[in-house]
Amino acid sequence: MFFALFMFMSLSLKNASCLYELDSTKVVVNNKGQRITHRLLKIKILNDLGRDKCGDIKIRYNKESSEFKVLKAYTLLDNGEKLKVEKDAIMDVGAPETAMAPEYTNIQIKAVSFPALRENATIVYEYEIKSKKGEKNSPIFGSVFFRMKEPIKKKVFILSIPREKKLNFAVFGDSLIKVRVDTSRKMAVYTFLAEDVNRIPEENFLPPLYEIAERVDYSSFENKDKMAEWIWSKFKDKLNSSSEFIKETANSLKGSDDRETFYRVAEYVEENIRNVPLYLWDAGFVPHSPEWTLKHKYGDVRDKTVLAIALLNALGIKAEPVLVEGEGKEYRFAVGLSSVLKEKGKGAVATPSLYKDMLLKAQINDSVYFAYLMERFSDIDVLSPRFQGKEGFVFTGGKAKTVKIPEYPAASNTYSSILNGKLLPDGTFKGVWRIEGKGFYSATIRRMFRFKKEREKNIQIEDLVKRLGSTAKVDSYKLFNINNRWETPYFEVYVTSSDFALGDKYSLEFTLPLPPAAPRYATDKEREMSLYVGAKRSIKDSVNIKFEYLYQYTVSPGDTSLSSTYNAFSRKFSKDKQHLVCSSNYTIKKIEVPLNGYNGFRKVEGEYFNKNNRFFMLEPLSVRGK
Amino acid sequence: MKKFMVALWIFIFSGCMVTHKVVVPKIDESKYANANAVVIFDSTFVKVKKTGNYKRRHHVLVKILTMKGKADYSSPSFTYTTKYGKITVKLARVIKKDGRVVKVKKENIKDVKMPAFGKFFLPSVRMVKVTFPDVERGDAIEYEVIEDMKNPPMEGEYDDMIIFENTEPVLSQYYELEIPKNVNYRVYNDPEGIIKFKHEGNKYIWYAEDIKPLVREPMMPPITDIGKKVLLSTVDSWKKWSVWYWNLVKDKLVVNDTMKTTMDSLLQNTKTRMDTMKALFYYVSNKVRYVATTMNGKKLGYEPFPAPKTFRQKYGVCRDKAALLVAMYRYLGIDAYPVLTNPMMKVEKDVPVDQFNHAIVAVKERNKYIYLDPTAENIPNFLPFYEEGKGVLVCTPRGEDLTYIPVLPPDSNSTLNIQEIVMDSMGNIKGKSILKGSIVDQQFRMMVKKMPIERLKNLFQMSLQSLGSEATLDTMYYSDPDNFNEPFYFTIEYSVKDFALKSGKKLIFSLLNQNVSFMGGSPFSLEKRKYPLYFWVPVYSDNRVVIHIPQGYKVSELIKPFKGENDYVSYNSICKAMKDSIVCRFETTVKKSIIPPEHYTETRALYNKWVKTTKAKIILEKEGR
Repeated sequence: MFFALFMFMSLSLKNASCLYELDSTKVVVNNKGQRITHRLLKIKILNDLGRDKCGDIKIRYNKESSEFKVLKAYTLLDNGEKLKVEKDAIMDVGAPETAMAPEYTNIQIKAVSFPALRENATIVYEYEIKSKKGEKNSPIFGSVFFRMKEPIKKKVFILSIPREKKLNFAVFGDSLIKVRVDTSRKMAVYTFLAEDVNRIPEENFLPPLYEIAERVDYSSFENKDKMAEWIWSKFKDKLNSSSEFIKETANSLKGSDDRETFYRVAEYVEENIRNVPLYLWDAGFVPHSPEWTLKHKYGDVRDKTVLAIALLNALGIKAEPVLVEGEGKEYRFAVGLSSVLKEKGKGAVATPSLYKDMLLKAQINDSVYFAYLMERFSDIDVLSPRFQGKEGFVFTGGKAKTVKIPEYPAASNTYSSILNGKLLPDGTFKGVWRIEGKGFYSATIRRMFRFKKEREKNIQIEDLVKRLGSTAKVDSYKLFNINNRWETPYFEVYVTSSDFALGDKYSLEFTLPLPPAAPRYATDKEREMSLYVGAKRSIKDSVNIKFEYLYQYTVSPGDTSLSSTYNAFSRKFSKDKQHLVCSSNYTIKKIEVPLNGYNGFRKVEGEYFNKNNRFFMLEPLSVRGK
Repeated sequence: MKKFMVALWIFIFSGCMVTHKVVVPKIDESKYANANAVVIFDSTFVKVKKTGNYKRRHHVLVKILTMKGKADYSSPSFTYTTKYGKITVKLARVIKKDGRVVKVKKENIKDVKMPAFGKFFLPSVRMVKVTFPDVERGDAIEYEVIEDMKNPPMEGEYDDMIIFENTEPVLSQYYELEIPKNVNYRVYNDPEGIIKFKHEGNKYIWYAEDIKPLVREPMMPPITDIGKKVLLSTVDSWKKWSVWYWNLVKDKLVVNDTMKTTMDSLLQNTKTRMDTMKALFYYVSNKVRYVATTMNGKKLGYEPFPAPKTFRQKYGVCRDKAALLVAMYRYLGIDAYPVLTNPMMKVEKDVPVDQFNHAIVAVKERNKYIYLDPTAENIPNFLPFYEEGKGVLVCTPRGEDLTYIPVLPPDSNSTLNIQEIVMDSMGNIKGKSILKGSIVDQQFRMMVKKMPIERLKNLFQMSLQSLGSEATLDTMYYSDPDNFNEPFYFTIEYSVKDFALKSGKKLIFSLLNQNVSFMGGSPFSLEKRKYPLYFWVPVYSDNRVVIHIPQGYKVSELIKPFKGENDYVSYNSICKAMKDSIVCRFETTVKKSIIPPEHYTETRALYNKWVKTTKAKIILEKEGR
């Protein structure tokens, strides 16, 4: 939907740091399944920032299964001088994820630092990656992005495969990407070309990159069933276990009904199997067996899901893995060969690279339950917003099926703040602040306190109460359900703040605080891309203040109610001589705000945050009891 | 505790035996209710040869109490540099709650190339990572790692810094050094005398029991500055380190013809020696980008590339950039030297231990040194403000003692914000804010050069939101960031709807946001502190605001003047009502970079008073009926 924005625009270097004059990749997959990637890059440095951003090129490859050859690497200065990259500036280092899980992956990075970079210098880099041996029947799939955070003069992607191999491809943004297919020779050649591609602007809260960059997906799977069959072949032997070890563990997790059992198993895996923080296919397509994961007590998302399924199966509950699309990864994006994509639109091709994460799913009676087993902070039955509303891919039994991951309404993700107390004539507030998080906000609350030491918790709370005045002091606090993920977490802080209000015998003035997690998104006056807020949600806020004296209101806001298609806000007051009660509700109704809805969204958000809507000035009527 | 220690020593010395069941010394878990893990022991045994080569055995036993403890401790990693030595894992096992032992298999001990991070590509650095299997709450993990050093940085010598603090409780920490040389040592930050010392023959032993965990506080000094620690060294003086580094660098300080040609063109319009120094400093600082590639020489990590190489590549790390600048200066007869320093922590002087992580440059002028950091890009002066007060070792042929860079007075590290606000009768404003001062000069030049312009706009747009609804950055502009001869200034112009609340005949607003909006929140959020509040350097901020009030309005209430100070801070604010405007000035000074915990409460009280005064509302009232 955003592609139209970039159409018919000539190449602009505005705010760019470097220009990709040429990014040409040719991938040849021969009859034996051997893959040779040849790439030529010409990048012009436009300024000092470009020198830093584009001066070191990092390419990922698997050292065990492929060979990397640097064919050309030099800097071409604007005076025509050529400076070759020295040997010690061509380096083999580990990929970042190997720091976390070297036993899972040995992906390497070939890093090249280019010399003598300055404005108008051009980097010329040509390399080849050749797989050491091929697998004749292995599928061919992948995705290529044609828009990045820097402008591109010309980008070509050529895929050459044996003619008898069928290839499906889908182009997202066909106004930009020109396609040529030549199947007249032994090797079929698919060429994708884009020219004069402007950069993606750097805005806050952009939609995921896969939604805003034109791309090509390609795959040799004829259809989704074939892909399901292939993925299933990697998983099928791992999902059931006859091991006593699995059975014993499963039996200890049996709940009073199947729903409870499902979540008890999920909780067990989340809490007891340490996360190996890799993206879905980083460690290949074949997961570890459930026995292995249970024995080792660590695993990536595949391993943890497979273990949970085996445990549930042992208890007679049929569960299955669901592949879910996810957000793009920057480093792959930059390389141009992404394995992380989102599938949208008709004619989309079947490629496993579309999926980045995995959920556990079980149908129990008439209800479908999902769990994400890398989670440790949210309520046990809550799915992160990044999965909500997404399309999941089920491959059980080698049959393709899509499922819609439920999208929770705003009311399910609620952050509630209740402030109760009394306000003394000198401006001191004494009361209790209760904050509760439901849905994904349950994780927000738990992250503040779970696994934290006493002093760390105190620091969190002390920092939080500063919203009630710079002198606000914590008298005591209580935490609830921080480790119990079956109940909603909340906390109560007993607080005294001597500068909540400015007060003397003539007046009191104060501004009611906003809840700490109130989300602010619409900071830009205008945007080029839509605003992506991630999740529907509701912020509830209630303040109940009792005054020591009787007061009249000399300045006080009125009730407010404002709404747009994307958000809504209402605030009501009940004001009497000795009480002030305020309740407000701010709702984000959609996860994405298009450009034509941005101004309306910004207006509502602005009014919600407007401090003048929460400001009071009071004058005492008399001293109580006198 | 005694009983526990006996059990512990039996455990340590039986640790290498092949056993099917091992009993981990029992600990009273209720004592550690807040801990994620308890380090039962952390023992280091070092045997040093005359050559300085050594074997260091590190033996650790940790009891896991929570999932977080498991995540923190069950996959430790150790890095080493291939040219110096190697790390091998001698023992790695999980001791289950019931005493069963699960040995870590070979495939779970990986020796891999150091992963790339940021601008660091270090193919000669490797990482050994142990992944402990089957770890559950209540289990213990144990490992023993041997570091075999075959090429110590300084031959024949040994030095080390041992921190006796951890974020989890430590029941016993032990460090034994066996060495055929005299060792100088000193214990720091241990007023309670927890760290004990024994010297038996050629063995030096430091140990401590029952070490309380360290909990981080916001804006505290680095743990290395305040944590209990021992510094030990066989190097008898800083001079020796100084000469050692000079000898490593001296052959790299050469200049070739291309460099000479470039220098000639850079120095064409320079008149004074200072002009010359500046021209070359700006060149190395801004035209040679920072990136760490394959390390050079036998003493990698210390040894810079030859200056002509860095000059050709136009990239390097701190030591490469420093050596290049020193070479250029020396060629022109400027008495320049490489300098070792550490901008991140205090370098202790008493014992000559290598505590450095950074290299800069010193130029000797009339028996005094001027320090220059060519790694810091886009700075108008020679040194970034955060390096003030840091330890420096000038490396010369005859050797120098360790010294400290002078700390400048607060007004040398200043932020000046000149604001002009025009308010209309509805309470809307149009504002202009000009930011100047040495801190702004350093930080904003850098931001303008290193941040995509859209990001910078977002940043300011975001910071304006606290002023009112629909606050908008109308424009921003700045002086030439490449012109280091003129002070840098940065201007934003903005509009805010409903900045003031219109209530009947009154317009009510506060200036607190104008006052603190660019200062990054309150440093005094904690009621009490265990550790000092750390500002890096003394700083001064001057915030001047002129508000043009709408026609027909007069000032009815104004912020009261405030003046308060102690030895650490001072706060002044004053607002005056003029004919058609209000003129305010808010000054804050942090006089000392460290506020100790015992003076924190009084300083905080002063700050809070100031905030309370300055957040008072200004009220304008419409004149007449």
